[in-house]
Amino acid sequence: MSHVPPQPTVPDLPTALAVLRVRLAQIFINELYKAGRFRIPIHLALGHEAIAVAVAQTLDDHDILVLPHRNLHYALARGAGLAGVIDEFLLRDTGLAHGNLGAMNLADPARGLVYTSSILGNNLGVATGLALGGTICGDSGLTCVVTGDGAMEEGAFYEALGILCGKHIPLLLIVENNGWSLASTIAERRGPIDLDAFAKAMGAGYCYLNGADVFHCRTTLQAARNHALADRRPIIVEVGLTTLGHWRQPQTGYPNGKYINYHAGPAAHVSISPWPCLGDTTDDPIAALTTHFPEPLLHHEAMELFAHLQKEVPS
Amino acid sequence: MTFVEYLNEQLRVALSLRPGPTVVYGQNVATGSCLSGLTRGMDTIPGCTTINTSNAENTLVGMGFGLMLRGVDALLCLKQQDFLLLGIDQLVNTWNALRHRDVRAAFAVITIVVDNGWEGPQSCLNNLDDFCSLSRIPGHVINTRHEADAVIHNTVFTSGVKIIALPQRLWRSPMPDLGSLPPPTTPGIQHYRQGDAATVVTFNFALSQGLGVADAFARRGQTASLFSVTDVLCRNWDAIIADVQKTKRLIVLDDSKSINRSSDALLLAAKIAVPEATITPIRRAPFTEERSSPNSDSLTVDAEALVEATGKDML
Repeated sequence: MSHVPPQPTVPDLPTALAVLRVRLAQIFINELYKAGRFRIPIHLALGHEAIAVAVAQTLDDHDILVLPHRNLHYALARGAGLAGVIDEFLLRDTGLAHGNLGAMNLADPARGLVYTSSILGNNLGVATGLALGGTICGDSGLTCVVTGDGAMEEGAFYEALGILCGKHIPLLLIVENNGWSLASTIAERRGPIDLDAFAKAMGAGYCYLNGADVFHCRTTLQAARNHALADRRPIIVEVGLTTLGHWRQPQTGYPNGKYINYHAGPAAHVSISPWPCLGDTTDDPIAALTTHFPEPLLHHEAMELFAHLQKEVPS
Repeated sequence: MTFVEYLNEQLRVALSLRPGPTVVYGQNVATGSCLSGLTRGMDTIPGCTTINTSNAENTLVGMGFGLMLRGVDALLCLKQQDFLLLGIDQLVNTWNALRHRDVRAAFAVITIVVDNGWEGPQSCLNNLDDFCSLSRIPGHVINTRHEADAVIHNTVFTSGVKIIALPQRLWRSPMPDLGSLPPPTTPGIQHYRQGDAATVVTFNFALSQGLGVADAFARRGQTASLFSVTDVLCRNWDAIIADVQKTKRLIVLDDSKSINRSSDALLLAAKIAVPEATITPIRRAPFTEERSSPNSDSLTVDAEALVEATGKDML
């Protein structure tokens, strides 16, 4: 897969606004979270907006999406309203899933989010069945499943790929690699895994993309989708990204505290702002937008989006 | 016709009547002995896809849920019940997330219970109760032609998930046929004989021992009622309790290796409803250290002694 250069697409403002919307919506949710409004655990996905928007734009109406516990960005990117998401997190009947699923199992079949699992690796087997079923039914759509660098350590990752490759079932397998599993880095918990080499060994395709730039993500994903369908095999898309909202743990040997990646819960140091940039162009999809569009334009659009989303937030 | 030949025949009949696509899958389902004959010939049924899979039980169970979500009926066949332990996360967690969905297709897991005694400590699982207790998925056993007909034609392909357990002990024996019977008044409870000296109720695969006890009563010129509970989650004991109120004697035979037996629910219900009744539970010998090596392990019942020991409540 990596031998085929992706075709560039022209950056467009609606896509940039979609990224901004997913970020701002999360910022509003975080404010409610900080205020103690939610009783359920929520895994924010600050820093993951670009891949979610790119996936939403790459998949067509027949494609389906299977998600893990960190799924909020995909629900928002696929068009879920902020009010519906907040109500779901408040477990209200007016929620996206009528208050039945909460955050870690948030699914939205009407928008193609068919199944979501809070269990690491659990969604890979279900996605394999969905993809197989689509093949048997002659469905032209593709199944896309999202996992992470922690969940890929589960045996189900290997099992699912073995079946998908062996039975020539097309599928997009997105690995959101933020380098952390809860508060442990990859180096702290295992040896490195070369996913490119692993994919080759299994007979799957592979590509890597920088998860900060939505346009790069979209271009690469579109190519990967086409390859999966044409080659009748799974394509692993490893997405390098940073989950923003870190904190520092007081620890001997770390004068400024030990850096701990954001995992779940309120992001205490993230504040509400119409310009919700939290990092730089290398790690923050919002900052990365400024490499494509003038910053004043983005600020202006963000201000309008902010005002619009604010109306959806309960007082 | 042997037990397995009858099951195979009826499963093929049921599969051929399916209106939509069906997948029969698992290790060796369409090669070699086809699970000792259970799945033989299914690859020639129109609309039925048979798939020989890799050894990946977690994913195989997950696939069943995915196929079901796609509207494809799925029949996963496993050569030993202990294989299903590797899929317990899927049974518990995936079904917990999906049990409230309006699923139209069926997902059935068929496991063969290999507990003849000589398999050693790891391959002799006989614990359908535990799978059903953990997952809250209906479980069904088959001892006779009546039970086979009821489970295969009324349960296997109804929408939703279920686990079917089959006894390898009976595999090559003639399919037990207890003559013509009226339809069961309670789903999941077969009422084989009417009597007034005792109420004999068998669980799991203990029907042959129950028949031995009923025959022992007959040799003394007495009659015993005989019930076989085939649904693990059955909790409607009305028909059995009514019989115990008449006989004042309940004998429960259960060859499950579980400590968490569904027969316990009947014992409790009978104790409360008919306190004057004599209740005798007969269960498998405990799985102690001495018994964890290959041995001639089975539920042994001295039917004559049991019939003779009247009036002694062993509960």
